[in-house]
Amino acid sequence: MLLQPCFDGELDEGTAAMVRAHVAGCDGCGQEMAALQALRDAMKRSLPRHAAPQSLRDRVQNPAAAASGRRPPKPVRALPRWLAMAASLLLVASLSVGLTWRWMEQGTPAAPYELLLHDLVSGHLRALAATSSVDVVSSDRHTVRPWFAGRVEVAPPTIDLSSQGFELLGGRVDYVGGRRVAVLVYRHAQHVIDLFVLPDDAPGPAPDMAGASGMIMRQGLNLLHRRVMGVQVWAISDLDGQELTAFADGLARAQ
Amino acid sequence: MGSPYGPRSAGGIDLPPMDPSSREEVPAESGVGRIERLILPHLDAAYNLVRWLARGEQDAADIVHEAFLRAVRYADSFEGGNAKGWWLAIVRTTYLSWVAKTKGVRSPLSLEEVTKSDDDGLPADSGRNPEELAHWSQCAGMITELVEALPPGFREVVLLREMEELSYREIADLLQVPVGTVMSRLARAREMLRRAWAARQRG
Repeated sequence: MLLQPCFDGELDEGTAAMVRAHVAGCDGCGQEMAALQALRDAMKRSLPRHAAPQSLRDRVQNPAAAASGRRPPKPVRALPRWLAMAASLLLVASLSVGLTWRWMEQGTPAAPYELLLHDLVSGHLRALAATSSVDVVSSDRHTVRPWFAGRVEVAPPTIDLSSQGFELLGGRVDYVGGRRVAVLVYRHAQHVIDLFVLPDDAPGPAPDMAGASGMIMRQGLNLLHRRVMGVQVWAISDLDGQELTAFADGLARAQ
Repeated sequence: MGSPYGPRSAGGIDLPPMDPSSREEVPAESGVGRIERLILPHLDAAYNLVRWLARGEQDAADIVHEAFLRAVRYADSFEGGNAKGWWLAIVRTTYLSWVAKTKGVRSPLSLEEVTKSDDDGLPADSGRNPEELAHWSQCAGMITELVEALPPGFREVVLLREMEELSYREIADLLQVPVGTVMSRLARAREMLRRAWAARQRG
């Protein structure tokens, strides 16, 4: 059981010494260790390591070029030569008048918000496709909340909505905008609802992008933003709009 | 009951409230420079990982580039510590959403093993006896093929461990799975490689 963690240097020194002592006197384990080492050596020696091409390095190191790279690459390559040249002249011109990265940030105010929605949707879809969409399985909110301690920045408000038909399945840690956030997973009928609990400085909803109900739709999924017990949360599900609103309102009322 | 979150968790919020307008100012110029310093040393690692997952050169470059743009946008979320892990996690998320978008595949990093039938008839210790071990080191090209043939979810774990030399904990954080899952996937991946190897030797 401990052979591979020992081989990977994952054991504390005391336990590792015990395992090594055992391996020294056990033929089977000795062979096993040798096999692991042979596999590692072979992989280290023969697997090609792909280095980032210079063109990628250039795109990353030059934010102005990065701006043009945001367009799909293929049409750009298909452009006539003179147009490409004109474009690069323009780029140089824009650089010289001091239009920098910052300008880009301000010029596209909706983008951080779209990226956020995108992360929520892909987090939800990925979890649905996985064998289990929860890391901690429990319908008991007093088990779920402590599980998140030290795992995420913002402790989730765990609210029992079972009386309204929303059963708490558990929770998991997901990544939104490269940060670890808590996700509470609820079920209603056969539908799974993910409740993402976000830090306060994550982008909130852009007021002009939501309908009157606040419901946002992406890839056939409904998303709803609420503030619950002082934190911002996003509910996402394939549940229909009315039911998801009922869920979100239930959360909001619980405070 | 004692709060498991310690004194900071009074209202369930661990972050001080931020003034959004002042927040917006930060990532601009200073963000790009700082993120570049964090990311550039690990650009090859990112590209290598995506190449092993996505195969195509142009796709891999586009994915890493998009990940870089995301990293810059979310620069503030990096709070020190393991820059490589933080960056590779963004790269991987970007890869997953890229696959979901372009191919409509929801779970690209599948853990489904292709067939069990290859295993049948092989002794339990295949890939483990001394003669077979000696062969490992001799047929370099075949190792690459065998790793490429692994289901992506297993390929990823074994590459992060053997090529990037990440610890179990780092891999667990990157994949957003428990450490125990990393251990079992890694063990399974190694087992599959050995068995595939043994099968080639016999075939």
